[in-house]
Amino acid sequence: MITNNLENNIKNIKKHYGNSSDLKSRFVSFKKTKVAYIFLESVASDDKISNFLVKSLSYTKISSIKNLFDALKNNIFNSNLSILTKDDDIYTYLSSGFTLVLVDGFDEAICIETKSILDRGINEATTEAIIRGPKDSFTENIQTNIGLIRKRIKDNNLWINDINIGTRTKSKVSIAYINGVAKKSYINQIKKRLEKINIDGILDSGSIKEYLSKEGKAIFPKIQSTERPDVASKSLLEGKIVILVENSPFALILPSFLIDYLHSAEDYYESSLNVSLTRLFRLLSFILTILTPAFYIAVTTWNQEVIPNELLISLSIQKAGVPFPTTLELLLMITTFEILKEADIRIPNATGASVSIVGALILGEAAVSAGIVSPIIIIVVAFTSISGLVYTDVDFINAIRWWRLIFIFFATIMGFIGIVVAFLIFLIRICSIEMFSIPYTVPTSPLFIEMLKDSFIKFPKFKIKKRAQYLSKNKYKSGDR
Amino acid sequence: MKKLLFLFILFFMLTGCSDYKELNNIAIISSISIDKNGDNYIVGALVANSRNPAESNTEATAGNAVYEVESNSIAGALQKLDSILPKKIYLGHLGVVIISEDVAKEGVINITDYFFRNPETTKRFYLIMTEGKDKASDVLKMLSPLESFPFQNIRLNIENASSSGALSHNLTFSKFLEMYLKKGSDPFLPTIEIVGDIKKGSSTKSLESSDISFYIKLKGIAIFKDDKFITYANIDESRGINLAIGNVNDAVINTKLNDKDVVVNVSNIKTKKKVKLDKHPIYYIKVKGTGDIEEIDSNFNLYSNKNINIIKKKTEEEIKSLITKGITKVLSYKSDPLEFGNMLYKKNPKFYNSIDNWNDYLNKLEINIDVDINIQNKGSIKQTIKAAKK
Repeated sequence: MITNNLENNIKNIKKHYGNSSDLKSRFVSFKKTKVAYIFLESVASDDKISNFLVKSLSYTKISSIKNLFDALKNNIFNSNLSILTKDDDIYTYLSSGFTLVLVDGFDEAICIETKSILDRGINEATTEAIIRGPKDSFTENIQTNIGLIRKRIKDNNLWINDINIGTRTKSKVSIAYINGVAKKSYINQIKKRLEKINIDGILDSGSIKEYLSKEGKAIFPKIQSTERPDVASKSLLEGKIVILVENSPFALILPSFLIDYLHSAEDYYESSLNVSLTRLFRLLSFILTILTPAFYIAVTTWNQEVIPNELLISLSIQKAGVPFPTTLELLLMITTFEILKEADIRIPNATGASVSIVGALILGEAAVSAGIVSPIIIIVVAFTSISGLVYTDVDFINAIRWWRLIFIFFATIMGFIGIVVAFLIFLIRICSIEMFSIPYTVPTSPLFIEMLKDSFIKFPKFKIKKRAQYLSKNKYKSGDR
Repeated sequence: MKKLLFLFILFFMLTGCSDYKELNNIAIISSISIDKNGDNYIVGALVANSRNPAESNTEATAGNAVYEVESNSIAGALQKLDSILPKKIYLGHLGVVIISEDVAKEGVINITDYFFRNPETTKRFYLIMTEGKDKASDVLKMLSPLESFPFQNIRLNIENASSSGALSHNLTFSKFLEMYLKKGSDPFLPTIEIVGDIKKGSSTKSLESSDISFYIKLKGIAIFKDDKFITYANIDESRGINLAIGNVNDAVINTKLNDKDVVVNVSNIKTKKKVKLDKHPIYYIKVKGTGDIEEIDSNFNLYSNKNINIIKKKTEEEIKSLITKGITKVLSYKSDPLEFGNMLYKKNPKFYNSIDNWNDYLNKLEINIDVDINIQNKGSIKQTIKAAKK
């Protein structure tokens, strides 16, 4: 509560902050009236304060004391100025780096924006690298992120609504969408779900994923997260909704389907023939990374009739002297590779590259020479891991890992029949995921032929004229809005 | 949760946990040989994944281990084999079964029941018999410097020999049974022969010299009646039968022109057989193919079409005479590998059934053979070198 007494106000604010050492205040006398400004030194920038306040105070001309408040309000050089009365607002703005100007005798506070920049600059994307295309990525500053999107979509219909989540962190969450393209019902549902969140605080966009959609059915992610503004912009143009969270360089894109994880940003910048072939390879690597270990187990222990003569003989000779059953060998090497991958992320950059390559090759070679595993296992596991590296979304890779293990389990028990059963379970689970009542496996089922042109293969742009019906009622992409 | 439980229960109703085999616990049998010793069968098995002692474990070569066991049934013999080997027998990749002449004389069907009943064996293995006094197991023991996997030696030999030369034929087990079971058709088998000393041929030491004088050779076909072996056909007759059946990729036909040799390589041979029924059946065999002139041993030049037509006619006559020789031989033994009886049965079963003794009828069949070879390729030169010298 701001009262008319300046001293009490300042004392109150300091008490609420527990006399934190970075809360600074300064009293200025202005023609016998006291003016105070208070700010948090850690998040407010000294330069801006001196520029705005001191200079503008010296330029302020007042005719009478009664109008001091109004004079200050009108004369402070700052584009972002607001009047605050409520306690909550005061503390939120103070902690965000704003400066409060309090005048003795008035029970309102002027709040001006003097945030200091506490982020790194705009860098290259670290997790989603492409060869050809823009290379900037989101940073931790939400205004910068919104700016990176705005400068790509200059339409005035790009609307951004804010919500604050987290009782202590009070993080700003922005929901961006293109009015007239995105469906209002989805936006309302998202807002409702976000408003229900009652939690201490969120630190990254990943924390609110669980509130936006229920996880668990098929382990596959329903919300895509990206670090690249061009991917976010492209999704907005298609009718999807982008959620930006303060202090997080990852934006969330809803709704997202299985087919979106097979695409990459580069696909829209290259010629469609190349892109179609690349997408087919990616689809192939998706199938290979899940099925290869299970297929190997099924073929060598249950259905040896399937592989050609020479291969069977070679495999059988190579496996002589190996003590473990095939499944155990496979799980051993897969575990080793996963541990290597995890360690590779944590190692400081200087020794990073050499450890992973050296580790993989030498461990594999040594394991073969020591007689722990047979040579073909190394090839199978290396092939599987490399196929998995094609995908960048962390949740997706996680899902692939789980399903790989499930397939291995079923193949060990029942061979090919096991793989078929596991595949049926996989299919049933995938087809039963829904996001905003849109099935996960769209556009293949239910069939949207127009959207198939941009799914497994890509037709040239001039042939794809319409947007997806399930995402937007606004059908045509070019010209008419 | 209920659904998962249901799925789990469904699992254990399906067959098969007993089928789990580790790769290093199976002995992959790729060839089997069957000899006869009195009433017993001597079964030899070539274990394909035996280690080659000279190489390390991870190299892509295999050894050649042949085991022989004796018993009065095939299944008994294979079970005795189980007691010798440290690994379990796996028959899923069986490639070749070799029968000796004695077994064939008593009837091939006696030994086929085991292989057909066993669900693990494939039915696509080749069936072949040895000629004369050669032991079938000796064929398995032959090594070849061209194959790092000895189990491929016989199989690839059969495939290679049957695709060119028209001498042999890669007959699979299922095809043999099909020919046996059909009405009005008799099977036949290709034959194989051992050249050289078997003692030398089965030791790797002799592979180190460059003089390879031991090998297995595929010869002509053996004529059967029902499933019993009757006699062998000589080279011309075998070639005739193979050309009439029509599964020849290419064959070299020697003809004589003015007493000098002219060699034409006939390829893409397709044979069509038809039967027309009037009062008695008339068979038509039409052979079509393309020919490449391979060698001319005279000063015959190919400038004019007339000369080429002469070569064409001579080749066609030669093929026709080969086929006639072959057919006469088989029909004289009352065997019918060309399925003449079956063709007539399909055309008019009443007529076929009304004939009292089809075997005697075979001798009097009227068969018209028509050969049409299209000489396409004449090589790079039109004039022979001898003619150019003049």
